[in-house]
Amino acid sequence: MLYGLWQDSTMVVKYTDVDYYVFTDAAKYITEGESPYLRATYRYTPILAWLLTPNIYVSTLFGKTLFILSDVTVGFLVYKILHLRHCQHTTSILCAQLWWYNPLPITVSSRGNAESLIAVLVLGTLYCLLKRGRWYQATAAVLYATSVHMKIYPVTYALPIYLMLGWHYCKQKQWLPFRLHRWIQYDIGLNRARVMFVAIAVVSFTALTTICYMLYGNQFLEETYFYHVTRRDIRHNFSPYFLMLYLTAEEQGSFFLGLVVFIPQVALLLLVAFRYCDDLPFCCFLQTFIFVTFNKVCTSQYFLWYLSLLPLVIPQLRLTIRDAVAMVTLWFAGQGLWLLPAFYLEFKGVNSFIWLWTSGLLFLAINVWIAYKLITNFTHKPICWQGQMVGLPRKDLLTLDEIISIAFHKVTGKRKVTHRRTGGKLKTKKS
Amino acid sequence: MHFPLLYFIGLISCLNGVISQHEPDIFHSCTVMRIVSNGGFHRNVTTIVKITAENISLNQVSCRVVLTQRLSAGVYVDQYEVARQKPFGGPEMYTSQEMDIEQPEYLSPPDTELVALGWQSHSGSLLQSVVTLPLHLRYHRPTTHDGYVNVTISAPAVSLACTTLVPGLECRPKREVSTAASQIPDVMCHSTFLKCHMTGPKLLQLALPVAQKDWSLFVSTTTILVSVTCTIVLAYTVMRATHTTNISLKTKHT
Repeated sequence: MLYGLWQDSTMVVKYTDVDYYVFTDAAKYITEGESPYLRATYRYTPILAWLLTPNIYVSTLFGKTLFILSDVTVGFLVYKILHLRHCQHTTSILCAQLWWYNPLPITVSSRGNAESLIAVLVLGTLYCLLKRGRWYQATAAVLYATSVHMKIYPVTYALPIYLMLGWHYCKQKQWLPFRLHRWIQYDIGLNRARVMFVAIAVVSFTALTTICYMLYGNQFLEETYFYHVTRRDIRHNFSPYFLMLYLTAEEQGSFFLGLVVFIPQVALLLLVAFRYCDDLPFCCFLQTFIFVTFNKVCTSQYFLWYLSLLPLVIPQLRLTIRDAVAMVTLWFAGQGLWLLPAFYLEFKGVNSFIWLWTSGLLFLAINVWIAYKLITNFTHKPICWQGQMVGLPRKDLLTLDEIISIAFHKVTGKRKVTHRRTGGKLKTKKS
Repeated sequence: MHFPLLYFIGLISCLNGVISQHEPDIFHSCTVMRIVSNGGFHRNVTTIVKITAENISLNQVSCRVVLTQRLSAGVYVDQYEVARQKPFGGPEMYTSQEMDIEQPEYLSPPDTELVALGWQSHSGSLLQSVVTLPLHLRYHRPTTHDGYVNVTISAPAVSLACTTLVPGLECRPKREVSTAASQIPDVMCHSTFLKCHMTGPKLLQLALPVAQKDWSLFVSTTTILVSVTCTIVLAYTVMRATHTTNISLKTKHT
């Protein structure tokens, strides 16, 4: 953040993200008693602009500090959620560290992007749901409604959350106002937990939306919701559909084509929701991964949506180091292959549309392969079974500092280093 | 000597809205040179204006060179970006209407006017102004040609905006001043447009890549096929994945 401050004040090319200037301008309008939507391209809830009014009153660094603190909270929530699932202490620490020391969220938050706020709300929802008290469920519903209000994509979690709050979660009697097949009734029937969650979430969402609507009218609905739903961005992005949508933008039936591309996304989201709803963190992760991969518009910021959930599923993965390295390498290589023609198109004026489109399809294939590897190497464990929490598989992973320490000893010591954990403490022995 | 008289004439001509289409006599010459840097969708167009005055020292007048630029639908300038560049020597810019930076060329208004005031220097009778505008090109309709379209940037009109009345400088009446120019603060006199000599081409042609319509069927079919295949692979994987094994209930944290 301090480096960004220096670069911003000395160089024409700014470190700070354009979106941060948009947020700050919108906050300025709020402080002047105007609508934040007077700022062109402000397409967020006014709550974000309200939150950032200290940018005007106190310091322009306030927003970035808030986003960075949110990032820290995300790591903390990762630890707490894994701890709740009876994960090994060191494994929980490692997973939190994987988020804390991930350069992507560090860069995104310090540049002033608000994705970490959504991540806090989503992980907060999961944490409260896993705590399982009545008050925690109510808090989860409020957090969930707020996350959907802030960004639309968590709406995909509605079905798995509803399904998870079934018999094994709370052992409550279920009923349906109409008769269905027995197993369907078992899965989707109403119970107290489900009714309470849905009611509180709906009321919270409606209240937030109504307040914003009363203040800023149709423009709020248009900019915050309708724009994102009806958005047809034909400019190049990671989506495999961008060139098709660009070429057919003015064709008859382009609207129909726009709907067709929703089908794979919706079908997979429904399938994953029903299949993995009882293991909610993995379900949310996989849904987000699929949502982003198959979306009509996809930019780098979208990757954070699923990366913030990835540490929650790591303890259940049975991947070899080789697999993990291959997946990460391919993921970055896919982006690199896309970024090269994108650079030539955008900054050199080379007609590289076909190359870019091919790279987009390749990146889709890579993501599908990654999803395949994750699903097939995932140890599925429901959160609850007959009303009790289910423990995660025991995995005694080293924390990042322990890994670094062992690597350091191996590099400098020139002697064989073995490690053994006794009583929760790592013992390093040179021989 | 003649100063009070000329001042009086200038003031009267402004107040009465007397329009003069002629180049003010006090300017000996005006030359405009434009340089385009960067490529692709983001270009910097630097305009250098040199004005030589006769019988007047430009050090004594408080006038700024104003470029009035008309932009076609294919180009936009992000006014917020320009505002951020101002502390680093960027121009001051005013537009007739807010530009939508997200729309493609075929959905954008056909003509937008902006005025820009750049960094300038005086040296005796020579007034030099440098304005660098970051132009962004919009996505254009796919073509059936060679995959490129030309976006034309017309020549800017040059005028002066003065905070005091300058002897011999004729002012345009307020109704003649465009919406964009009228936003420049503290201006007492907008001069008539100067007749400037362009060094280099009058119209700038910027080549921009566009998709080709011939690809449409191939791209659409392949995209849908790949997307459907990936969906089937993922759906099959999800359906076939091994489910719940070895449920161990734990009540204590380990």
